[in-house]
Amino acid sequence: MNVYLIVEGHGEKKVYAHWVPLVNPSLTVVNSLDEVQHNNLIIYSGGGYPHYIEVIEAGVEDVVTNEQLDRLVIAIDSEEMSYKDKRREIEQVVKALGKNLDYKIIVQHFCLETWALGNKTIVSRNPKDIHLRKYRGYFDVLTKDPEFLPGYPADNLNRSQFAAHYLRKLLNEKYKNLTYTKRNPHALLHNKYFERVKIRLQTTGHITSFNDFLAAFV
Amino acid sequence: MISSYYYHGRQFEDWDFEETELNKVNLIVGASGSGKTRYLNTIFNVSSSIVHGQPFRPGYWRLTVKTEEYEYQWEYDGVKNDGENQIKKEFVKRRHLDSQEAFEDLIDRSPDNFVFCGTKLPKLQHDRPGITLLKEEEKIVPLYETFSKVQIRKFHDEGLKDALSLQDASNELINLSKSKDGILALWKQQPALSAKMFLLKEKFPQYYKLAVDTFERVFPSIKGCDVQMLKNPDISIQTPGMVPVFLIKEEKIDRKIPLHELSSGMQKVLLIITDIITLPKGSIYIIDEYENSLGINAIDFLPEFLVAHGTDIQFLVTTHHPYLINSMPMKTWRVFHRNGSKVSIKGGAEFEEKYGKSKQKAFVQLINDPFYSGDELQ
Repeated sequence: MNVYLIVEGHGEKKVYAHWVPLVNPSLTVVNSLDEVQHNNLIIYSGGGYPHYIEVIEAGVEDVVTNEQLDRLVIAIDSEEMSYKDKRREIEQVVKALGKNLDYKIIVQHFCLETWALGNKTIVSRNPKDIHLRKYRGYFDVLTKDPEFLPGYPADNLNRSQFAAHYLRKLLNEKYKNLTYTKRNPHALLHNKYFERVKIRLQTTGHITSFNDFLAAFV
Repeated sequence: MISSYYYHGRQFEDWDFEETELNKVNLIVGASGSGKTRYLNTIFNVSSSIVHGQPFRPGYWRLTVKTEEYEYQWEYDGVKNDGENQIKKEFVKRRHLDSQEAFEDLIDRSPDNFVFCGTKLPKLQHDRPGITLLKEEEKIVPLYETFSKVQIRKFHDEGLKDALSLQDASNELINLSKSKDGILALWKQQPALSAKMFLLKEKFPQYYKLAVDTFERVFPSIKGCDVQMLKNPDISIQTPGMVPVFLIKEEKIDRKIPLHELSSGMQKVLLIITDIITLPKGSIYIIDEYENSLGINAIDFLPEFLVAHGTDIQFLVTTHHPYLINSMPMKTWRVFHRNGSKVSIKGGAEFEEKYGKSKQKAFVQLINDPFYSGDELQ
């Protein structure tokens, strides 16, 4: 199976390039469409919304016109929208093109960092960072489903911004030299990290949107 | 124009830029830090040193210049040893354009030997390029003139400040009246923008009209332009008294707005337009990151404008902007990738076939290409 994947940003591209083969070990990443042969994954980062819609439309066209491509996968953050509304929105974009193709939608509800917060091992039991203690008191990602994380009005952060900030704080607290940015999500590029996120879903039923990811590449 | 270019730094600066063929219009693209600005600076700096005779530039250059009649090849290796400037070697040769005839050797130089057209010359200044020393020689003139017409426009603060300053233009006006060089004389003066518009209006009204018409097309809210003599508001810096000031009239605004009160976007656009239309034939014009702080209306006129003026001028433009990258033909791209001090450069033609298979826009494919992004996923 050859998969054409569209993600929002360069950070997601790196994470997916690492995590997808953990779900389907037969898939290997290639860098351009002319390299696609057998069991390959090609990833385009779409540069964010709304430019992303144009990238999806071009992606549909590519999959329909290139016989060797079997499936289109679209990964997108729901951000302030609900999971259902974002999925419906992308469905409509694809269906409006009137093409017949195999496609899957991954709604990262509500962003990639939400899934990343599902890894319990990154949470220090007794954080020293005063902000982190406040965050744990406000919403403890160790026990509550990160998909229900609210914004943090005290620092003017919407929920996506707060999720990224919370994640960064957790990683800095536990692993002093580890940095995380959207552009360079090094902390997530480990097999164990992926396994821990999967375990969170499987043992607690939290971060249910991660099911989209697990189903999209098999 | 420069049709091929190679540079390798010497001493502390050992940057190495892959030898590259250049077109009339070149869109220099690459991630931040990939060496684009430095590359353009090497072109401008060596040209400036040749024209002014100084400062001495250590470095190794190898380039091909095409003039109206000839193809020149120039190779130059300058070093600084123990504070002493030395030209280790310099070669200049030429042949008629598009011919297969053998090159004629013009300059063959080493520290102890300087031969021009087969004749050994007496000792000349050891740290000046041969092109500079022999710039009056008929066979060297076309090559020298190419280097004398390299202009760089940067949009960092200081460069913009000088271009937008107010200046008395009376001496320039007198000189233009006496000169037989036409628009070239104005270009050599390099006046600030308001003074330039004044001089265009007085002496070259067809150029003034072209500049104003183009400017008004980019910004449709402008309903007229003018240049008036006004009292210089900043007497602490420029000469006191009356100075020419460029003004616009916008719809729904009663008063005329002077240049220094326009948005930086409008200022930059006018600067680019007047730069380009007054460039002498055979010029090389370098624009470094034009799109900084510009809206799309101030960007989207540029591709067509470059193509319209690209017959007689060579352009090297750095950009990160999706619109420019998508609008310019891929063959104009020069894509930079840096690994340490080594910069690889790929011509756009290499990408045409690779990107031709996908319907994704050129910019999307470029930013996803590991050569551009530096991200290796495997």
